[in-house]
Amino acid sequence: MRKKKVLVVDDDVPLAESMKLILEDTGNFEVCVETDSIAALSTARKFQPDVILLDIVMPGLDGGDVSAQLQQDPFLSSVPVIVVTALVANSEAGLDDGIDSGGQMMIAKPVQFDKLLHAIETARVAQVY
Amino acid sequence: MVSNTPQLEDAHAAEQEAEGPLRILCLEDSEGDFILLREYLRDAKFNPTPELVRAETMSAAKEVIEGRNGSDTFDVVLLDLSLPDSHGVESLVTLRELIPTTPITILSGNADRDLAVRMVKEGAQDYLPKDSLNAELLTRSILYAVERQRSQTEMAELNKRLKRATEDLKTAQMQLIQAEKMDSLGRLAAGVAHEVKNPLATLQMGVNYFDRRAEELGEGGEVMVSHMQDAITRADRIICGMVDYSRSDNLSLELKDINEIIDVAVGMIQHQILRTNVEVSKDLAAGLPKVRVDQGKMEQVLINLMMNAVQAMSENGVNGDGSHGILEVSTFPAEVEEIDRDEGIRHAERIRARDSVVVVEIRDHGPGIPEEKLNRIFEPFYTTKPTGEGTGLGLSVAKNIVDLHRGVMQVKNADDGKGVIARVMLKSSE
Repeated sequence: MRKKKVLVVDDDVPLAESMKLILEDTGNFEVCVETDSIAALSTARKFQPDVILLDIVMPGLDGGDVSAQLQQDPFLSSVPVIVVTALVANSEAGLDDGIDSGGQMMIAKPVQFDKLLHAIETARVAQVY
Repeated sequence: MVSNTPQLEDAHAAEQEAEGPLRILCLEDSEGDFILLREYLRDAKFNPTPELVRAETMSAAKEVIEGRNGSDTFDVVLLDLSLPDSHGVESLVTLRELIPTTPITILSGNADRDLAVRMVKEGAQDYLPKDSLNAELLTRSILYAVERQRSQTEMAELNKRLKRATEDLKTAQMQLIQAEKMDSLGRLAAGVAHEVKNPLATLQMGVNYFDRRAEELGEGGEVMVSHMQDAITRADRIICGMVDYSRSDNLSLELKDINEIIDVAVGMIQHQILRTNVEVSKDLAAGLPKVRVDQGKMEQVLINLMMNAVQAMSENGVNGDGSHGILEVSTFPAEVEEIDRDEGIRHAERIRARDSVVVVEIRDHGPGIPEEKLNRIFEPFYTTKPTGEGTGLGLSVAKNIVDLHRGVMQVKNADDGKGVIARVMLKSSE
């Protein structure tokens, strides 16, 4: 089975690398890390991920900007984006299972690995209202 | 001073005409002195003629005053220092109690002038020497006494208003400081939360990474990973609690039946209660008026209070003797009798005495809270639970939420000394 390609966009280097390490440890994922949000779009074009894990608060372009760039790209607009952020608590967004009922998928940091896995496996493109 | 008198007299003549005759109570046992006084009053230019009531003794004066029913019975009292049943300062004190706002003028003989002066110091308005009394002196003394008393009453009233205004100002200042504190705490909390959650997320990934290799780690390694996991969870809970506490959230208020919210909240903690030896006993009044609440936030408050109660009973030996701990949840309508002044909730919409409220009471039968700790339980980060088991933010957040609802939260030990009663009062909306 082809490994699922996951792009992690997060300026926190240790966190991004830890995610890569643990995801690849399962043997089911190929992970690319981009810690510079300005380069996120071009990295995504090259890597062609199946899922993108996107931080919100980043220097340069924030998660919202990167998300908008991705949506405008004809090859990337159909790639599911999961926002992984320290801005909210899971309980606040009603995302205790890591999955939003509609709209943007969002996960609160710190995230348990099983929730992250579940989110990646069930990831789908955000519905635009 | 004398030259001012005619002006004052004129002014009072006009005023008196509008208000009716001056009412004078004269405590004088000597017939001769009283007749003289009456003559002087007749010669004085009071218009209309004053109403002069004589009492020969203090007990007669009491009867007259009480017969007139109330303190505002006379405009001035003329008091002889030596009555058959009362003398000097004693007479003054008795009259002050009976008619606290009525001016008293002392009638003194030559022999007791010193005493008369002392009584002015004690609160009498003036003293008149009987031997040199005349119509003009009497008129002036009475008018000044009435006037001075009126000024004093006005001054006292103004003083009261000033005190109230100062108090309100202080309260407003406290609120402002509190708001500023909360605002900066909010910003600080949000910043800290973001900065701390990122490293926590890395630690979380690490713990999960090692957890996947539990077999390789051996028993010690597994325990260590489990402790690290607990530490991350705890730190995250504290951070979330801090953000929660500092956030001055907008409430989305809706008219709700509080009993329904209680049912939902109890449902949400049912599985946690089942693990303990605690039984829930509900006594919810039917047909309660609705309350304007943010359901989610109010559920949070009730869950917090109920979990505190459950913990108080399961941790403190209620289970030890095999008996069930009973968590009593009751609701009832009430009329507020008295509210403690609380800077946090001073607001136009806050609950006041005689308001109709809906009360939620949550009672445990645990060991209670030591009195010295009771007044600190709403302080952020103050906890009576063992380290690691409480963030010390639960009750602070709950109180904040109730305050935002303009409600009142009280936590006290039960009168019988067995357990704690937490009470939430919300204004009825019907």
